Amino acid sequence: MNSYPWPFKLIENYAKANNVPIPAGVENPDGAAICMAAEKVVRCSEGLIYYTGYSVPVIVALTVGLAMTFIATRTPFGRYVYAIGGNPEASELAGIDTKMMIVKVFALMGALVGISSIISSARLNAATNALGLFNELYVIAAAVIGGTSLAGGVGTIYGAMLGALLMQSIISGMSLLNLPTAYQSIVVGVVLVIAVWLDQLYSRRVN
Amino acid sequence: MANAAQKAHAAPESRGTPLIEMRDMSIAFGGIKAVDHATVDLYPGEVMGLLGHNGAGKSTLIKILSGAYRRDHGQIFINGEEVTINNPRDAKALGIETIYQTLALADNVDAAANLYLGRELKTRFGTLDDVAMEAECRKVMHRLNPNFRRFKEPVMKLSGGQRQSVAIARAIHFNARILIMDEPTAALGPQETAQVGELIKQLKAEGIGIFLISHDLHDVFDLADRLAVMKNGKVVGTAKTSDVDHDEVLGMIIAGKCPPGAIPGPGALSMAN
Repeated sequence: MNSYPWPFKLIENYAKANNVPIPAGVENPDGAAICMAAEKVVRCSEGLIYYTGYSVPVIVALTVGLAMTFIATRTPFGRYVYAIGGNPEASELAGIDTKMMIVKVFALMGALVGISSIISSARLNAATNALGLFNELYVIAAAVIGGTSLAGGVGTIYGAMLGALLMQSIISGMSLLNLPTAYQSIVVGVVLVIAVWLDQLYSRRVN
Repeated sequence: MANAAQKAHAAPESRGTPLIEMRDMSIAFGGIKAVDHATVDLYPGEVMGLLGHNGAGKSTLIKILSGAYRRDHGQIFINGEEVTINNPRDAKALGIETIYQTLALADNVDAAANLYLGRELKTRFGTLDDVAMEAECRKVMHRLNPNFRRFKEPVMKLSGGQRQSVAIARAIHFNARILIMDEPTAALGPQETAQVGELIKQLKAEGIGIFLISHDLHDVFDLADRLAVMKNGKVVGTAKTSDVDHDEVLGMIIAGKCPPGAIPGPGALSMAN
Protein backbone atom coordinates (compact mmCIF):
# COMPACT_ATOMS: atom_id res chain seq x y z
CA MET A 1 0.00 0.00 0.00
CA ASN A 2 2.42 2.62 1.14
CA SER A 3 5.53 0.43 0.77
CA TYR A 4 7.50 1.72 -2.19
CA PRO A 5 11.12 1.49 -3.41
CA TRP A 6 13.43 4.32 -2.53
CA PRO A 7 14.00 7.01 -5.17
CA PHE A 8 17.09 6.28 -7.27
CA LYS A 9 19.16 9.27 -6.15
CA LEU A 10 18.56 8.42 -2.51
CA ILE A 11 19.53 4.81 -2.98
CA GLU A 12 22.64 5.79 -4.92
CA ASN A 13 23.83 7.87 -1.97
CA TYR A 14 22.89 5.09 0.42
CA ALA A 15 24.87 2.53 -1.61
CA LYS A 16 27.93 4.81 -1.68
CA ALA A 17 27.76 5.47 2.06
CA ASN A 18 27.42 1.78 2.92
CA ASN A 19 29.81 0.41 0.30
CA VAL A 20 27.09 -1.54 -1.51
CA PRO A 21 28.28 -2.26 -5.04
CA ILE A 22 26.16 -0.73 -7.75
CA PRO A 23 25.52 -3.19 -10.57
CA ALA A 24 27.78 -2.58 -13.51
CA GLY A 25 26.19 -0.96 -16.49
CA VAL A 26 26.81 0.17 -20.03
CA GLU A 27 26.90 3.77 -21.10
CA ASN A 28 24.14 5.51 -22.91
CA PRO A 29 24.89 7.67 -25.92
CA ASP A 30 24.34 10.71 -23.63
CA GLY A 31 26.74 9.39 -21.00
CA ALA A 32 24.34 8.08 -18.32
CA ALA A 33 24.96 4.58 -17.02
CA ILE A 34 22.43 1.89 -17.89
CA CYS A 35 21.92 -1.24 -15.79
CA MET A 36 20.05 -4.45 -16.29
CA ALA A 37 17.57 -5.44 -13.62
CA ALA A 38 15.28 -8.44 -14.09
CA GLU A 39 15.72 -8.38 -17.88
CA LYS A 40 14.79 -4.71 -17.95
CA VAL A 41 16.96 -1.77 -18.89
CA VAL A 42 16.83 0.79 -16.06
CA ARG A 43 18.89 3.65 -14.71
CA CYS A 44 21.78 2.31 -12.73
CA SER A 45 20.78 2.82 -9.13
CA GLU A 46 17.30 1.46 -9.81
CA GLY A 47 18.96 -1.90 -10.34
CA LEU A 48 19.48 -1.78 -6.62
CA ILE A 49 15.99 -1.95 -5.18
CA TYR A 50 15.48 -1.20 -1.54
CA TYR A 51 12.17 -1.25 0.39
CA THR A 52 11.79 0.07 3.91
CA GLY A 53 8.39 -1.54 4.57
CA TYR A 54 5.12 0.03 5.56
CA SER A 55 4.83 3.46 7.09
CA VAL A 56 2.91 2.76 10.28
CA PRO A 57 1.69 6.36 10.88
CA VAL A 58 -0.09 6.29 7.50
CA ILE A 59 -1.84 3.03 8.43
CA VAL A 60 -2.77 4.51 11.83
CA ALA A 61 -4.12 7.65 10.16
CA LEU A 62 -6.26 5.67 7.71
CA THR A 63 -7.61 3.45 10.51
CA VAL A 64 -8.45 6.46 12.67
CA GLY A 65 -10.05 8.14 9.65
CA LEU A 66 -12.28 5.13 8.98
CA ALA A 67 -13.24 4.79 12.66
CA MET A 68 -14.06 8.50 12.96
CA THR A 69 -16.10 8.45 9.75
CA PHE A 70 -18.13 5.59 11.18
CA ILE A 71 -18.67 7.49 14.46
CA ALA A 72 -19.61 10.69 12.65
CA THR A 73 -22.10 9.22 10.19
CA ARG A 74 -23.48 6.01 11.69
CA THR A 75 -23.85 6.63 15.42
CA PRO A 76 -26.23 8.84 17.46
CA PHE A 77 -23.15 10.51 18.93
CA GLY A 78 -22.06 11.73 15.48
CA ARG A 79 -25.58 12.85 14.64
CA TYR A 80 -25.69 14.90 17.86
CA VAL A 81 -22.32 16.48 17.10
CA TYR A 82 -23.63 17.69 13.73
CA ALA A 83 -26.94 18.83 15.25
CA ILE A 84 -25.21 20.79 18.03
CA GLY A 85 -22.95 22.38 15.42
CA GLY A 86 -26.00 23.43 13.41
CA ASN A 87 -28.19 24.75 16.20
CA PRO A 88 -27.11 24.28 19.83
CA GLU A 89 -30.34 25.64 21.34
CA ALA A 90 -32.54 23.43 19.17
CA SER A 91 -30.43 20.43 20.12
CA GLU A 92 -30.86 21.21 23.81
CA LEU A 93 -34.62 21.62 23.32
CA ALA A 94 -34.74 18.33 21.40
CA GLY A 95 -33.53 16.64 24.57
CA ILE A 96 -29.83 16.25 23.85
CA ASP A 97 -27.61 16.77 26.88
CA THR A 98 -25.48 19.33 25.07
CA LYS A 99 -23.13 20.04 27.98
CA MET A 100 -22.28 16.35 28.34
CA MET A 101 -21.90 16.05 24.57
CA ILE A 102 -19.37 18.88 24.51
CA VAL A 103 -17.39 17.20 27.29
CA LYS A 104 -17.42 13.97 25.26
CA VAL A 105 -16.26 15.76 22.12
CA PHE A 106 -13.35 17.31 24.00
CA ALA A 107 -12.50 13.90 25.49
CA LEU A 108 -12.53 12.35 22.01
CA MET A 109 -10.28 15.12 20.73
CA GLY A 110 -7.93 14.49 23.65
CA ALA A 111 -7.73 10.80 22.71
CA LEU A 112 -6.94 11.67 19.07
CA VAL A 113 -4.27 14.14 20.15
CA GLY A 114 -2.87 11.33 22.31
CA ILE A 115 -2.52 9.10 19.23
CA SER A 116 -0.85 11.84 17.21
CA SER A 117 1.54 12.67 20.04
CA ILE A 118 2.56 8.99 20.23
CA ILE A 119 3.37 9.11 16.50
CA SER A 120 5.19 12.42 16.86
CA SER A 121 7.34 11.31 19.76
CA ALA A 122 8.04 7.94 18.11
CA ARG A 123 9.21 9.74 14.99
CA LEU A 124 11.56 12.05 16.87
CA ASN A 125 12.43 9.40 19.45
CA ALA A 126 12.06 12.23 21.95
CA ALA A 127 9.22 14.17 23.51
CA THR A 128 8.90 17.60 25.00
CA ASN A 129 6.00 19.20 26.78
CA ALA A 130 5.61 21.54 23.78
CA LEU A 131 5.53 18.85 21.11
CA GLY A 132 2.46 19.95 19.19
CA LEU A 133 2.68 23.64 19.93
CA PHE A 134 1.92 25.94 16.98
CA ASN A 135 0.37 23.05 15.03
CA GLU A 136 -3.12 24.42 15.83
CA LEU A 137 -3.06 26.82 12.91
CA TYR A 138 -2.16 24.03 10.47
CA VAL A 139 -4.89 21.81 11.93
CA ILE A 140 -7.55 24.50 11.61
CA ALA A 141 -6.37 25.32 8.09
CA ALA A 142 -6.51 21.64 7.12
CA ALA A 143 -10.05 21.26 8.47
CA VAL A 144 -11.31 24.40 6.70
CA ILE A 145 -9.64 23.44 3.41
CA GLY A 146 -11.32 20.06 3.77
CA GLY A 147 -14.76 21.67 3.86
CA THR A 148 -15.38 22.02 7.60
CA SER A 149 -17.43 25.13 8.29
CA LEU A 150 -16.11 27.47 10.97
CA ALA A 151 -19.76 28.27 11.78
CA GLY A 152 -20.27 24.63 12.71
CA GLY A 153 -22.38 21.70 11.66
CA VAL A 154 -20.78 21.07 8.27
CA GLY A 155 -17.76 18.94 7.39
CA THR A 156 -16.46 15.43 6.85
CA ILE A 157 -13.58 13.39 8.25
CA TYR A 158 -12.15 12.47 4.85
CA GLY A 159 -12.36 16.12 3.81
CA ALA A 160 -10.26 17.13 6.80
CA MET A 161 -7.76 14.36 5.99
CA LEU A 162 -7.46 15.54 2.39
CA GLY A 163 -7.05 19.07 3.72
CA ALA A 164 -4.24 17.89 6.00
CA LEU A 165 -2.58 16.15 3.04
CA LEU A 166 -2.72 19.33 0.98
CA MET A 167 -1.49 21.49 3.85
CA GLN A 168 1.41 19.15 4.62
CA SER A 169 2.31 18.93 0.91
CA ILE A 170 2.55 22.71 0.78
CA ILE A 171 4.66 22.90 3.95
CA SER A 172 6.99 20.02 2.97
CA GLY A 173 7.30 21.39 -0.55
CA MET A 174 8.31 24.79 0.74
CA SER A 175 10.90 23.20 3.04
CA LEU A 176 12.36 21.22 0.11
CA LEU A 177 12.53 24.45 -1.89
CA ASN A 178 14.54 25.98 0.95
CA LEU A 179 12.02 28.76 1.44
CA PRO A 180 12.75 30.80 4.61
CA THR A 181 10.45 30.00 7.56
CA ALA A 182 9.03 33.52 7.53
CA TYR A 183 7.78 33.08 3.95
CA GLN A 184 6.42 29.64 4.80
CA SER A 185 4.28 31.18 7.54
CA ILE A 186 3.03 33.82 5.12
CA VAL A 187 2.02 31.18 2.57
CA VAL A 188 0.21 29.13 5.24
CA GLY A 189 -1.62 32.23 6.42
CA VAL A 190 -2.64 33.19 2.88
CA VAL A 191 -3.91 29.65 2.20
CA LEU A 192 -5.95 29.78 5.42
CA VAL A 193 -7.45 33.17 4.59
CA ILE A 194 -8.43 31.99 1.11
CA ALA A 195 -9.99 28.83 2.54
CA VAL A 196 -12.04 30.80 5.08
CA TRP A 197 -13.09 33.30 2.41
CA LEU A 198 -14.30 30.48 0.13
CA ASP A 199 -16.13 28.92 3.11
CA GLN A 200 -17.92 32.23 3.78
CA LEU A 201 -18.74 32.67 0.11
CA TYR A 202 -20.16 29.16 -0.08
CA SER A 203 -22.29 29.43 3.08
CA ARG A 204 -23.65 32.79 1.90
CA ARG A 205 -24.69 31.22 -1.39
CA VAL A 206 -26.38 28.31 0.41
CA ASN A 207 -28.49 30.71 2.47
CA MET B 1 -70.67 39.09 38.16
CA ALA B 2 -69.51 37.02 41.09
CA ASN B 3 -72.15 34.50 40.11
CA ALA B 4 -70.89 34.14 36.57
CA ALA B 5 -67.34 33.84 37.80
CA GLN B 6 -68.32 31.10 40.21
CA LYS B 7 -70.14 29.26 37.47
CA ALA B 8 -67.14 29.42 35.17
CA HIS B 9 -64.94 28.32 38.01
CA ALA B 10 -67.22 25.46 38.97
CA ALA B 11 -67.35 23.98 35.48
CA PRO B 12 -63.73 22.78 35.25
CA GLU B 13 -63.81 21.48 38.81
CA SER B 14 -66.53 19.05 37.84
CA ARG B 15 -64.17 17.47 35.32
CA GLY B 16 -61.83 16.16 37.99
CA THR B 17 -58.10 16.73 38.30
CA PRO B 18 -56.48 18.79 35.60
CA LEU B 19 -53.99 17.11 33.26
CA ILE B 20 -51.59 19.89 34.03
CA GLU B 21 -51.61 22.62 36.58
CA MET B 22 -48.94 25.29 36.77
CA ARG B 23 -49.41 26.98 40.11
CA ASP B 24 -47.95 30.32 41.08
CA MET B 25 -45.15 30.24 38.48
CA SER B 26 -42.55 33.01 38.54
CA ILE B 27 -39.40 33.61 36.59
CA ALA B 28 -37.26 36.73 36.39
CA PHE B 29 -34.45 37.63 34.00
CA GLY B 30 -32.34 40.10 35.88
CA GLY B 31 -34.76 42.69 37.16
CA ILE B 32 -37.51 41.88 34.69
CA LYS B 33 -40.28 39.66 35.97
CA ALA B 34 -41.15 37.80 32.76
CA VAL B 35 -43.70 35.62 34.52
CA ASP B 36 -45.14 36.85 37.78
CA HIS B 37 -47.14 34.41 39.92
CA ALA B 38 -49.08 32.97 37.01
CA THR B 39 -51.44 30.02 37.45
CA VAL B 40 -52.89 28.09 34.51
CA ASP B 41 -54.38 24.64 34.15
CA LEU B 42 -55.29 22.31 31.34
CA TYR B 43 -57.69 19.37 31.18
CA PRO B 44 -57.43 16.25 28.99
CA GLY B 45 -58.90 16.77 25.55
CA GLU B 46 -58.94 20.50 26.00
CA VAL B 47 -57.39 23.29 23.99
CA MET B 48 -56.27 26.20 26.14
CA GLY B 49 -55.54 29.39 24.25
CA LEU B 50 -52.82 31.64 25.68
CA LEU B 51 -53.12 35.24 24.55
CA GLY B 52 -51.32 38.47 25.21
CA HIS B 53 -49.06 41.15 23.80
CA ASN B 54 -45.58 40.44 22.55
CA GLY B 55 -43.51 40.17 25.70
CA ALA B 56 -46.50 39.39 27.91
CA GLY B 57 -44.80 36.22 29.14
CA LYS B 58 -46.78 33.57 27.25
CA SER B 59 -43.79 31.97 25.58
CA THR B 60 -41.74 32.19 28.74
CA LEU B 61 -44.48 30.49 30.75
CA ILE B 62 -44.71 27.54 28.40
CA LYS B 63 -40.94 27.35 28.08
CA ILE B 64 -40.88 26.63 31.82
CA LEU B 65 -43.27 23.76 31.15
CA SER B 66 -41.21 22.43 28.26
CA GLY B 67 -38.01 22.59 30.32
CA ALA B 68 -36.24 25.30 28.35
CA TYR B 69 -36.20 27.66 31.36
CA ARG B 70 -35.96 26.82 35.04
CA ARG B 71 -38.60 28.46 37.18
CA ASP B 72 -37.70 30.66 40.14
CA HIS B 73 -40.88 29.86 42.00
CA GLY B 74 -44.00 27.73 41.60
CA GLN B 75 -45.14 24.15 41.28
CA ILE B 76 -46.16 21.99 38.32
CA PHE B 77 -48.69 19.20 38.78
CA ILE B 78 -49.46 16.51 36.22
CA ASN B 79 -52.62 14.53 37.03
CA GLY B 80 -52.47 15.98 40.52
CA GLU B 81 -48.90 14.84 41.23
CA GLU B 82 -46.13 17.34 41.58
CA VAL B 83 -43.34 16.92 39.04
CA THR B 84 -39.93 18.52 38.61
CA ILE B 85 -38.96 19.70 35.15
CA ASN B 86 -35.38 20.88 35.05
CA ASN B 87 -34.55 20.36 31.37
CA PRO B 88 -36.26 19.41 28.09
CA ARG B 89 -35.49 15.73 28.66
CA ASP B 90 -37.58 15.72 31.86
CA ALA B 91 -40.48 17.31 29.98
CA LYS B 92 -40.31 14.80 27.14
CA ALA B 93 -40.20 11.92 29.60
CA LEU B 94 -43.51 13.24 31.02
CA GLY B 95 -45.07 13.34 27.55
CA ILE B 96 -44.84 17.09 27.06
CA GLU B 97 -44.03 17.96 23.44
CA THR B 98 -43.49 21.49 22.17
CA ILE B 99 -43.65 23.28 18.86
CA TYR B 100 -41.50 26.34 19.42
CA GLN B 101 -42.05 29.70 17.81
CA THR B 102 -38.51 29.49 16.43
CA LEU B 103 -39.24 25.85 15.42
CA ALA B 104 -35.99 24.72 17.07
CA LEU B 105 -34.78 22.67 14.13
CA ALA B 106 -31.18 21.67 13.51
CA ASP B 107 -30.83 23.38 10.12
CA ASN B 108 -27.94 21.35 8.77
CA VAL B 109 -29.52 17.87 8.93
CA ASP B 110 -32.49 16.45 7.01
CA ALA B 111 -36.14 16.12 8.00
CA ALA B 112 -35.89 12.55 9.31
CA ALA B 113 -32.86 13.41 11.46
CA ASN B 114 -34.75 16.36 12.93
CA LEU B 115 -37.85 14.26 13.55
CA TYR B 116 -35.87 11.73 15.58
CA LEU B 117 -33.30 14.11 17.06
CA GLY B 118 -32.48 12.86 20.55
CA ARG B 119 -34.59 9.70 20.06
CA GLU B 120 -32.96 8.01 17.08
CA LEU B 121 -34.06 4.60 15.90
CA LYS B 122 -31.15 2.21 16.17
CA THR B 123 -30.18 -1.07 14.57
CA ARG B 124 -29.26 -3.97 16.83
CA PHE B 125 -25.60 -2.88 16.63
CA GLY B 126 -26.45 0.48 18.17
CA THR B 127 -25.90 2.38 14.95
CA LEU B 128 -28.38 4.78 13.35
CA ASP B 129 -31.18 3.12 11.40
CA ASP B 130 -31.55 5.81 8.75
CA VAL B 131 -33.70 3.66 6.48
CA ALA B 132 -36.34 3.05 9.15
CA MET B 133 -36.25 6.69 10.28
CA GLU B 134 -36.78 7.97 6.77
CA ALA B 135 -39.62 5.52 6.15
CA GLU B 136 -41.37 6.68 9.34
CA CYS B 137 -40.69 10.29 8.45
CA ARG B 138 -42.33 9.80 5.05
CA LYS B 139 -45.45 8.42 6.75
CA VAL B 140 -45.79 11.29 9.22
CA MET B 141 -45.01 13.97 6.67
CA HIS B 142 -47.50 12.46 4.27
CA ARG B 143 -50.21 12.93 6.88
CA LEU B 144 -49.24 16.56 7.51
CA ASN B 145 -48.03 17.80 4.17
CA PRO B 146 -48.72 15.38 1.28
CA ASN B 147 -46.71 17.49 -1.17
CA PHE B 148 -43.51 17.21 0.83
CA ARG B 149 -40.80 15.42 -1.17
CA ARG B 150 -37.50 16.88 -0.05
CA PHE B 151 -36.47 14.24 2.48
CA LYS B 152 -32.78 14.21 1.60
CA GLU B 153 -32.10 17.93 1.95
CA PRO B 154 -31.03 19.77 5.09
CA VAL B 155 -34.03 21.61 6.53
CA MET B 156 -32.37 25.01 6.04
CA LYS B 157 -33.16 24.62 2.32
CA LEU B 158 -36.88 24.06 2.95
CA SER B 159 -39.57 26.72 2.83
CA GLY B 160 -41.06 28.18 6.02
CA GLY B 161 -44.20 26.06 5.77
CA GLN B 162 -42.22 22.89 5.17
CA ARG B 163 -39.99 23.62 8.14
CA GLN B 164 -43.06 24.22 10.27
CA SER B 165 -44.56 20.88 9.25
CA VAL B 166 -41.32 19.16 10.24
CA ALA B 167 -41.56 20.81 13.67
CA ILE B 168 -45.22 19.79 14.03
CA ALA B 169 -44.42 16.23 12.91
CA ARG B 170 -41.78 15.99 15.60
CA ALA B 171 -44.21 17.05 18.31
CA ILE B 172 -47.06 14.70 17.39
CA HIS B 173 -45.04 11.63 16.46
CA PHE B 174 -44.13 10.48 19.95
CA ASN B 175 -47.51 9.97 21.62
CA ALA B 176 -47.53 13.21 23.55
CA ARG B 177 -50.00 13.69 26.41
CA ILE B 178 -49.54 17.43 26.48
CA LEU B 179 -48.81 19.48 23.42
CA ILE B 180 -47.57 23.05 23.49
CA MET B 181 -48.00 24.98 20.26
CA ASP B 182 -46.30 28.36 20.16
CA GLU B 183 -47.75 30.09 17.10
CA PRO B 184 -47.92 26.89 15.06
CA THR B 185 -49.46 28.51 12.01
CA ALA B 186 -47.23 31.60 11.82
CA ALA B 187 -45.48 30.56 8.58
CA LEU B 188 -48.31 28.58 7.01
CA GLY B 189 -50.61 29.36 4.11
CA PRO B 190 -54.41 29.21 4.45
CA GLN B 191 -54.61 25.58 3.35
CA GLU B 192 -51.93 24.37 5.76
CA THR B 193 -53.46 26.47 8.55
CA ALA B 194 -56.77 24.70 8.02
CA GLN B 195 -54.91 21.39 8.09
CA VAL B 196 -53.31 22.29 11.43
CA GLY B 197 -56.79 23.20 12.72
CA GLU B 198 -58.06 19.77 11.68
CA LEU B 199 -55.05 18.19 13.33
CA ILE B 200 -55.71 20.03 16.60
CA LYS B 201 -59.31 18.79 16.62
CA GLN B 202 -58.13 15.26 15.91
CA LEU B 203 -55.53 15.35 18.72
CA LYS B 204 -58.10 16.83 21.06
CA ALA B 205 -60.45 13.92 20.34
CA GLU B 206 -57.60 11.57 21.33
CA GLY B 207 -57.59 13.18 24.79
CA ILE B 208 -54.40 15.21 24.40
CA GLY B 209 -54.27 18.53 26.23
CA ILE B 210 -53.05 21.40 24.07
CA PHE B 211 -51.69 24.82 24.99
CA LEU B 212 -52.16 27.04 21.95
CA ILE B 213 -50.33 30.34 21.82
CA SER B 214 -51.55 32.60 19.08
CA HIS B 215 -51.95 36.22 18.11
CA ASP B 216 -54.88 35.37 15.89
CA LEU B 217 -58.13 35.78 17.86
CA HIS B 218 -60.10 33.96 15.18
CA ASP B 219 -57.86 30.91 15.47
CA VAL B 220 -58.19 30.89 19.23
CA PHE B 221 -61.97 31.26 19.14
CA ASP B 222 -62.23 28.50 16.52
CA LEU B 223 -59.97 26.00 18.20
CA ALA B 224 -59.72 26.71 21.92
CA ASP B 225 -62.16 25.65 24.63
CA ARG B 226 -60.80 28.09 27.18
CA LEU B 227 -58.41 30.99 27.00
CA ALA B 228 -56.06 32.72 29.36
CA VAL B 229 -54.83 36.25 28.80
CA MET B 230 -51.46 37.45 30.08
CA LYS B 231 -50.20 40.98 30.48
CA ASN B 232 -46.82 42.04 31.90
CA GLY B 233 -46.17 38.50 33.11
CA LYS B 234 -49.40 38.26 35.06
CA VAL B 235 -52.57 36.37 34.21
CA VAL B 236 -55.35 38.89 33.53
CA GLY B 237 -58.01 36.23 33.53
CA THR B 238 -59.18 32.90 32.21
CA ALA B 239 -62.49 32.28 30.49
CA LYS B 240 -64.37 29.76 28.44
CA THR B 241 -64.34 30.91 24.83
CA SER B 242 -68.13 30.62 24.80
CA ASP B 243 -68.46 33.08 27.70
CA VAL B 244 -66.57 35.99 26.14
CA ASP B 245 -66.51 37.76 22.77
CA HIS B 246 -63.70 39.21 20.67
CA ASP B 247 -64.02 42.74 22.06
CA GLU B 248 -63.90 41.59 25.65
CA VAL B 249 -60.80 39.50 24.96
CA LEU B 250 -59.17 42.46 23.20
CA GLY B 251 -59.95 44.53 26.30
CA MET B 252 -58.23 41.90 28.41
CA ILE B 253 -55.16 41.86 26.15
CA ILE B 254 -54.78 45.62 25.76
CA ALA B 255 -56.11 47.11 28.99
CA GLY B 256 -56.09 44.17 31.35
CA LYS B 257 -59.81 44.67 31.93
CA CYS B 258 -61.49 41.47 33.05
CA PRO B 259 -65.02 40.98 31.63
CA PRO B 260 -67.84 39.47 33.69
CA GLY B 261 -67.59 36.11 31.91
CA ALA B 262 -63.99 35.53 32.97
CA ILE B 263 -62.28 34.54 36.19
CA PRO B 264 -60.00 37.43 37.09
CA GLY B 265 -56.34 36.70 37.79
CA PRO B 266 -53.73 38.75 39.65
CA GLY B 267 -53.05 40.87 36.55
CA ALA B 268 -56.63 42.15 36.18
CA LEU B 269 -57.37 45.84 36.71
CA SER B 270 -58.99 46.29 40.08
CA MET B 271 -62.64 47.34 39.98
CA ALA B 272 -61.78 50.63 41.69
CA ASN B 273 -60.05 51.79 38.47
